Parts: sequence; structure tokens; C-alpha cells
Amino acid sequence: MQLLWLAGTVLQVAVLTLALLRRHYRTLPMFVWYIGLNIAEAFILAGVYSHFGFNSAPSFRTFWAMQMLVMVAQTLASTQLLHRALEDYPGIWELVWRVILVAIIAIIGYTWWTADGKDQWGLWAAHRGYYFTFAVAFVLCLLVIRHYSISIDPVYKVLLGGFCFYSCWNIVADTLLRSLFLQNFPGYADVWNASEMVMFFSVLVVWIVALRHPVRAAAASPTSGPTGGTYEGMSPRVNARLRELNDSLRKFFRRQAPQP
Amino acid sequence: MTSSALIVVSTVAILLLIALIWALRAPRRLSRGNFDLNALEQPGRRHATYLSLIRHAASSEDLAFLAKRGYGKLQSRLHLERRKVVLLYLDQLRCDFEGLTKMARAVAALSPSVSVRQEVERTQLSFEFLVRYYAIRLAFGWGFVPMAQLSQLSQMVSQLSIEMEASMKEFGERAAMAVRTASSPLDGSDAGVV
Repeated sequence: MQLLWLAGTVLQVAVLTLALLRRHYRTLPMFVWYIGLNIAEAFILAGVYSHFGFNSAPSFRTFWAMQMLVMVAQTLASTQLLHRALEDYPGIWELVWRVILVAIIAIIGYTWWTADGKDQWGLWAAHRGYYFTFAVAFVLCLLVIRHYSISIDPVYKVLLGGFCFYSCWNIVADTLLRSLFLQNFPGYADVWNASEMVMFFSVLVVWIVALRHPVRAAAASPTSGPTGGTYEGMSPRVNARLRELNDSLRKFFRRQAPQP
Repeated sequence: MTSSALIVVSTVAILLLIALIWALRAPRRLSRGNFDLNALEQPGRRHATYLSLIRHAASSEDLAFLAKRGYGKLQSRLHLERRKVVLLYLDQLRCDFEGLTKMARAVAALSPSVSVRQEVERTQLSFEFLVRYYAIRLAFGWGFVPMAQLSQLSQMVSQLSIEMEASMKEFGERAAMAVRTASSPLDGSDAGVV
């Protein structure tokens, strides 16, 4: 298990290094925060486990508190990824965030209903419910993007695909955990831990391969405006944007009826 | 109980994974740079306009005339040929409809805002079209000639075509307004360049 923990940390450090070296932190700061938070979680939990023991109450509380933070970071990172991927398509982005919202409301309702507060499995149900929400919402968004034949950058695709794949696996792993527990399977928690870690490794490896490449469009067109605040700083950028607009409009009107 | 829950959840997860893989596959027509702009600007003559000819081809008057004159062989040949023509027309109607819905999606993708209600209506329309299309094909397979249904299907394509032309006109007007707005500070080929 320690070996798995070490391998996971090394892979996450590799993802973070690549994200920083390839300057992905400029376009995807939330993703970088997500990986950073995961690394921090690994070190904090290692310290807590070695001090209080693996099965102690403080370890349990720290684990779930960290999990909550990581889940929030995952949602923010994925939403930012989608937003970046669709920044040229404001209409579709409007549609997509509504899909996310509806899916979140619907499945939070379902999770609330299934996760009875008095039940010892309440946290487990909430954990599975979160991943279920996440997978449904983001797969739906990707289906909407596909429906409109929009091509998104391969880097974004792989990162989003990785999050969705990991969420799908978590849904199965959580159900498997309860199933094994109820069948009195020895070491059920180890099976759950190991399966989650192995799946996360595979996602990290795919992310490393994807992050070696720069992002196609978003890096070239940051949405942030000119920071210089001077005419000399702003003018070339404004000119470039206007030339882009001119080119687009010329292409558009080239096929229109001849001008009188 | 628990194993059945595991099966159900695993099935849901597998379905989500299949949807994910399908969604992540590269679309055949890629982003805005690769939208077929010719398709956007050539609504052209739709097959729905040939409905009166198809109605004539599907009528039994000519066949009855041939039968009365004793040209049985010719009558059955004509019946077969005309049936082929009607089926071909049906297929072309579907092609037209698919082309129009594809164009509608392209316009929606390029629009600054997309109406959810309109998109839902469009999805419903596509579903309705497919149901009617297969019902007509089935009816043909059983030897019926559902002319009323075929007319309704043509009407759907014509209606969508008119709506698309209106959308394209609006799209063009907006672009023209954008040109005017961009070129208003300065007059010249490089409109509005600071």
C-alpha cells in the first residue's frame, strides 16, 4: 500500500511539473490547484495516519474533510476546463452550464434521499452520489458538445475524460465496497483503496501524456484583457483582434450575393 | 440484494463510460473552421417541392387505365418503378431534413446565445420526423401508399426550410450590423483598426 501511495505521489508531482512547465497554469489554474491539493492531501494524510493510526477517529475525520476539498476542487477544475473549451461558443456554454446545474440539483436530491444522516453509510452514499452527479453532468455536457459537432482541444478532452472515467470507477468501487463489507470479505477497505488508487494512476498517466502538448487555442487567446493600461500596450492587441474580425467577416461575406 | 445493486450500478457506470467514449470521439465535421459554409448559404430547391409529382406517381389512375387496356405486365412494371421513385423521394426528404437540422445546429453553435426551448423543440421535431419516416416506410413495405402522411412529412421539411432561411437572414443581418459597428470609427478596408 505504501508503494502505491509513493507511486501516486510521484505521478501527481509529474503532472504538476508538466502543468507548470507547459504553462497550463495560465489557462487552467483550477486544475493545477486540484493536483496541488491532491499532493497536499497525500502528505497530510501520511502524517495523520503515522501519528494517530490508520483506523483512528482523527484519521477518519481528516480523510473525509480532505476528500470534500478535493471534490470541490475537482468540480471547479472540470467546470473551468469546459468553460475554456467552449469560450468560442458562448451560446453552447450557456446551454452546458444549465445542463450541469440541472444534473447537480437532480442528483443531489437523489443523494440526500438515499444518504440517511443516522445511517453509518451516510458518508459513503454522499461520496458515491457526488461521483454519480459529476459523471452524469459532465458526460451530458460532452454529449451536448458532440451534438453540435464542436471540436475541443485534445488536452481538454483527455483531462475531462480522465475526470469522468475516474468518477465512473468510483461509483462502481463504492458499491463494491459496501457489497464486500456486507459479505464480511476480509480486507474490503484495502481492496477499495487499492482499486481507487490504481484507477487514479491510470488517469494520471494519461494526463501526463496529454499535458506534454500545449493547448491549441486557449493559450493563444487568453480572455483577460490588456494589463498594461497604456495605449501602446493595448493598441497592438486591439488591432490584432480587429484584423481577426475583419478576416472572419470577409470570409463570411465572400459567398454572399455580389455587391451593387 | 447487494450483488443486484452492484450489477445495476456497474451497468449504469458502463453506460456512462460508453457515452463518454462516444462523446469524446472526434466528430466528422469539426469546429467552426470546418463548418460547411456552403451548406449554410445554399438552401436551394428542396425535394419537398416535388410533392405534387410524387402524388401523381402514387395515384392509381394511370395503373387502372393500363389495367383496363390490358397492359398487365406494363402496369406491374410501372407500379414497381413508381414505388421505387416514391421510396427514393422519401430518402431524399430525410437527407434534406438531416441537412437542415445539421445547419440549425451549426447556426446555434455560432450564435451568442442558444434558446433551450428552441433546442428542445428541435430535438422533438427530429424525433417526430424519424417516427413518421419509419412509419411511412413500414406502410410501404406492407403495400399501402400513405399519401397524407407523406404530405405531412414534406410539410415538415418545407416548414423547417423556411425557418432556417429566416434564421440565416437574421444571422446575415447581425453580421452586417457587426461590420457597420466595427467600421464606423474609420472608413476603409481595414475597418476599425486603431
